[in-house]
Amino acid sequence: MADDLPTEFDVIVIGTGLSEAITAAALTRIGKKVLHVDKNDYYGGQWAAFTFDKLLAWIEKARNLKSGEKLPPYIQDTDTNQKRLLLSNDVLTTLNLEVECYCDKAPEIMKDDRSTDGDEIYNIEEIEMAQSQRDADNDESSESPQSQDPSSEDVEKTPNQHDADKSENSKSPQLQAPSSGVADQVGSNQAIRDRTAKEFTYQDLKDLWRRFSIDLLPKLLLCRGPLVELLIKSKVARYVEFKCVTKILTYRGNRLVQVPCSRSEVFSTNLMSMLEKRMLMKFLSFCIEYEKHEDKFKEYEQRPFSDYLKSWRLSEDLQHFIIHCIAMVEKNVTTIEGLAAAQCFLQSLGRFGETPFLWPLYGVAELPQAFCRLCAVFGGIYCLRMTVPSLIIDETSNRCTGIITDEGQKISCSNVIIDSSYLPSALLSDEPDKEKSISRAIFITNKSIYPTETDEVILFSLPSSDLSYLIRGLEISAGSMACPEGLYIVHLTCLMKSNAKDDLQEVTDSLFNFEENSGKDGNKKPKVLWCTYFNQIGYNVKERLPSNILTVDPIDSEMSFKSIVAKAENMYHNICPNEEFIPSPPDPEDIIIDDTSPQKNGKETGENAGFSGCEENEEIRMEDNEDENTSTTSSLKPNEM
Amino acid sequence: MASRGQPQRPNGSGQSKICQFKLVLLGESAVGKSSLVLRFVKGQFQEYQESTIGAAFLTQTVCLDDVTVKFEIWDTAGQENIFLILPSFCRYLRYHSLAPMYYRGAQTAIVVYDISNAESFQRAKAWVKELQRQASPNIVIALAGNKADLANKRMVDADEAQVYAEENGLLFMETSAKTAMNVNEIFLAIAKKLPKSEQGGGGAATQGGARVVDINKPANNSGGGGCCK
Repeated sequence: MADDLPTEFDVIVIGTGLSEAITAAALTRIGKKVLHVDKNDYYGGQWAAFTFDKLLAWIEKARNLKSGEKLPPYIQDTDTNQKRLLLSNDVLTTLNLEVECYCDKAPEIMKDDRSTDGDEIYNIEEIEMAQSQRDADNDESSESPQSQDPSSEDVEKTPNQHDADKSENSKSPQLQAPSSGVADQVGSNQAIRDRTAKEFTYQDLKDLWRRFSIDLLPKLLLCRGPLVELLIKSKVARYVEFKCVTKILTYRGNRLVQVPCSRSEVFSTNLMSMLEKRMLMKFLSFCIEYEKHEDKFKEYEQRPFSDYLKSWRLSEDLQHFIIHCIAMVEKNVTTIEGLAAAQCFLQSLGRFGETPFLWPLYGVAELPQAFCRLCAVFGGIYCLRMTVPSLIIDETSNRCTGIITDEGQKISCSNVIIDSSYLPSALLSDEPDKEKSISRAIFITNKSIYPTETDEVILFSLPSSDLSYLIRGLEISAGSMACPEGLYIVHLTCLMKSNAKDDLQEVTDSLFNFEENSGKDGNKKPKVLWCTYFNQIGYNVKERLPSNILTVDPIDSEMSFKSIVAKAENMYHNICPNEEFIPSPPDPEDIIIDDTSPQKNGKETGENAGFSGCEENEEIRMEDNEDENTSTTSSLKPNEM
Repeated sequence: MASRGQPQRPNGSGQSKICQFKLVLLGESAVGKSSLVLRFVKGQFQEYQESTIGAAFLTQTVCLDDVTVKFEIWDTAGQENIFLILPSFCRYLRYHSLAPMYYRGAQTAIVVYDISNAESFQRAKAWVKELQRQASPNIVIALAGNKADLANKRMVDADEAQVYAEENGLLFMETSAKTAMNVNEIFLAIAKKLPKSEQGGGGAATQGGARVVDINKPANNSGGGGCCK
């Protein structure tokens, strides 16, 4: 079947991260021939999401990967004017990996119900109390990391011991689940029911492996950001479903509080005085059209945003809200960057829900897959688990003319787009570029950090205690198809400072409980069942490559997708300078068959015609949604205040 | 795409509820996957149809007594272009790396083979396995032995397929996109088997709180976000 692969393409794309996928889709959309390859057997590279078993396998693999020797990156071809750029498979994109498990690994005997005392649903005052108590207890709890050490060492072995693939079959006795296929799921469902409000064991997590969808690189879409517009225009939005983030939380003092997003929330919040509310609204109204009032910020334009906020005489609390929860930027950004970020937040409010952010069901990893599908639908060819040993560089023109497959076959192309982590390490900076690298933590917990009765997607934006950097958190639950009922996934992300665990430890300790019954408020905080810390690393490309090789960073540290879309558009226009970027595809109804009138040939089984066209129902769906939307949007309208 | 599998009420009329389901098609190249869909959606058939390019979706509704079932059919376009590279003996295996996204939230699948091609029946079995592994646990799977009009070239015994289908809890029919035999019937049988209750979806059913957003919907209010105005 190897012969099936054509030997000529317009563009070869190496790596299936999001910007590569968007660019690949854009190229096939206008008729370019694209070969899109990935060395892994899954899509997305550092953008992937995994079921629990696959995540364990990924961790194992990342741990065992050793960076190879720095070999000379080029080999001269004798007799020809060509050289080969040797690609590598051992650039370390994941560092400082740690895994900790805090749930019992052995199947445990079920404990009696202790869930009926209203423990799970408590109100905010209680949380706040819990928070302040925790502060008091902080000294005690800071000892807990040390005391965890023995258990975590123990646990680190666990993923090794259990082959991830076998997890399906190794049932704990009380689950009584048959071993395969659909029946297996019935067993898992049963397991969930049995275990609601009970203890989950490590074995349970493994048994429920397929209900997890755990992202390596979680990000949120701004409702008016470029990616949403692109998804709509390209109709890729039809492949993915979204949920609106329901709450944005931050610390105020040491309490976790909800950031008011809608007008009514600003009205009703007791976090600020009437005067502060007015100040806030005045400032936000200005932000929305700040460009029109250049005189108001001109002298601060390149100075720190925080200085500018001081000039508005906003209170400390308001400054914190604006910087960390509305602009969601690091403290040291310039005024102009801060204003632009705040404006984007405000413009995105109320479009699809109460907060400006969307989260894709099953996670962000759906997005590269969705663009890959668009690419394949328009004829792009995909090869997963394909290693490309080398690129061919013509020395006369200093251009890349194609790739060599590991069978030695030459596939020619006029452009290459490549994830920079596929490049030989000799061409990359020795040290990670900290602007392109992030610290990550993933927690599986038994309770929401902000429990309510409904299904939530919670974003939290927490400055480190010395305010030197910002930690972004996201909690998702079963409703977002990320994990089984009764469990929660919490993602923490910040720019890499030293290593993931150290960077995130402080916030981790304040949010979670690692040991049973630690501290007075121990059982109010979510208990971590399992977690992992790691850094995702980006390097700088040191050497200038031929101009028709475009490189992409394997990850992106931004919270939203602005730079990703810009990068994709930029690469696309580099290759096709005068073409539109992903024009809307025609309606599939028009493509397959010429416009002939559809015959209705169905059997009539109901009162209405049995088989009807689709347009009418399309409308129904829209109307339904509009109804929902108008009833739920009550957004911030500063001018009216 | 919002509220897949969720009963919806058409605006302003007290008629039957509408349930929307995602349907995926799987099967080897050239067994007639697209032809089946075309026959079902448009009542048409083309003898020499080129492999589909650029089509991602078709929709079609089926009315049962009390519900209207709307199928959102994910066409196969693109499947033919996806390879997984395996070591040694079989270098390039087609299809086997369909993105998990393709199966996400699919409440039903039709796995198609060609009755005149024994190999395609084996591939169909592999697809059924793949679905049972990857897709939603409650997925309704139908097995379609297509090209039933080519009875004189039959290579797959109908009884054998029937037994296999029963063993695996699949709906089974031999179909012909060319003559329209059993095409509507198989979709109708699926429609009947799909759970139409509130929890029936198996897709992104929501329990209040964060609801599923359809971003395809044109933005409300020009200028949109309440804040801008």
